[in-house]
Amino acid sequence: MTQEGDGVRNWDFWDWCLAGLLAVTATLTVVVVGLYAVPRAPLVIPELQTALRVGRLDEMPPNSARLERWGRELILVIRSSGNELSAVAAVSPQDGCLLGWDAQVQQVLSPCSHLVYSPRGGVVAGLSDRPLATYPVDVRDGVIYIGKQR
Amino acid sequence: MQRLLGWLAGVTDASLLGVPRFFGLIYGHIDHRLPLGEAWRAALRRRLPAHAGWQHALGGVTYLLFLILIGTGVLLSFYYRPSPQEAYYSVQYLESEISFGWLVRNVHFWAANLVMVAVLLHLLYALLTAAYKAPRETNWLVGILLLLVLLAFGMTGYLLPWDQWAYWTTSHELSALSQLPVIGTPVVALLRADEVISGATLSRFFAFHVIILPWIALLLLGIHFQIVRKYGIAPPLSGAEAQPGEPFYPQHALRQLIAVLLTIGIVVTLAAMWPRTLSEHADPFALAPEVQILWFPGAVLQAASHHLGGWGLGLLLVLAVLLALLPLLDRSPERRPLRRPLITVGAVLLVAGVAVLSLVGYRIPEATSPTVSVSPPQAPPTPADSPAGAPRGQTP
Repeated sequence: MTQEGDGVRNWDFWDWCLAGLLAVTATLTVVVVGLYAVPRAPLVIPELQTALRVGRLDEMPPNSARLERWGRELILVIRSSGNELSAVAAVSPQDGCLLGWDAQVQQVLSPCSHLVYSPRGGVVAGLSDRPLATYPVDVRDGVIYIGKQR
Repeated sequence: MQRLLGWLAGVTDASLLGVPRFFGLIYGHIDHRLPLGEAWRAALRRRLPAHAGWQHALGGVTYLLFLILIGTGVLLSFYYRPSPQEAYYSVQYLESEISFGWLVRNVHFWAANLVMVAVLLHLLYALLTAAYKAPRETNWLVGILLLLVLLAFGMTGYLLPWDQWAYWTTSHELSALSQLPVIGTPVVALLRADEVISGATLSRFFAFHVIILPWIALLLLGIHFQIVRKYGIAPPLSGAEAQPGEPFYPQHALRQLIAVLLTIGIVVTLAAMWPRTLSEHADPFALAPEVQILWFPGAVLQAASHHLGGWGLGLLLVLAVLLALLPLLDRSPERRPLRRPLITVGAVLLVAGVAVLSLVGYRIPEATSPTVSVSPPQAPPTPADSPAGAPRGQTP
């Protein structure tokens, strides 16, 4: 910084360089903080969720089922032909197989050991006396939610 | 009404200059009541002693790092969730999902390390130049208290990511603290708030880190700056009266600005090159195979307690008390370091000792992990809770 006379100063090359560097640093800081503060999809920890949003009721026709993942659990959400909603564990406790919804017989089937469960999780047929875990289902404003395992 | 409209039209005309003019009008009123402009000019014109130089930028660098810690800490609190179930995942989310989240977190981490280096160098300079002597004894004491507050900041902040390194390092530190005679056990009970480190500990550490300690630090900093302003920087080593030098602006301001830019550059470079990675989620039932202590005062504490046991910590405590009482112990007017060999050698040994201990205590092998006897759990942890190979029956 050069000094001319009493208190009058002119900026030299290095002053401009330093001021430029400071301006760049300040601008980058503002940009970084701005981008950082922009909200993203919120953090979801499945184990701590009180309910899982399945989807809109009108997206799920009668006599159909959907497979949902909630943390480590797989859940079969069923809408029966009588418009009754239910949610059961999608893995058989007997053989560990992934279960499926059979729309023709309107039952839950295990392809591994021919076990048959009702939409509410009870054993209908097969060599097992262990029913499926069930989950509470609620419909609010046309959206299906399931709660923690009963 | 006509006059009001006329005045409004005058001060808020539609030209481009209207906006700055409007703010200028507001600023004029503020400046009339609070002469900020004059205060600003007076601060810039304030003459510093002729012997003020680069070495005095250390205090400014320390303050800058503290400001960086506050800024990044506030940003981290946007996303951090202080509960054992969420803390780890919120830090993971911050690093992986949020733009520049990794940068903010690692700048915070490196600033926390560098602020301790800056404080130690600041302390070394004060020791060598006898800045603790009259009439600056109070400021020396405030400085030592600030050092202790910074240590508390680091210790409470270290647990917050809730990963294995954080969990077990804090476990080591609390275990080491509990070895202190008389005060160790009650202090640890107060900090831990539970039999083992748990959610209760995390809540307490979070409250200390973001609410209690910042207020204490700001209070102490205010006193520190006020005393510096009142008595000025320490006189030259020759013992001569300090001669008035140049005004703060431009030479000293330029020097400080260069120090600021260099510090920011170093912190950001370190954050980008050597990020503090997360280890596994904290698990009280599984000792980490190896714990890396990534905050160097923690490593010093670990090395002292590991190699010297309770005596090591007692030694550190005695050292802190000796430092605080130094103005009472050394009352001679002599300021030249070579004429005060005991203090000079002690100061150099202090810094060298801290450096050596931090290197020694950097890693904790599993064998030295602490155990605290607690009541055996009613039901043993399930295999899902404790990974295969994890030691059983050994709880933090």
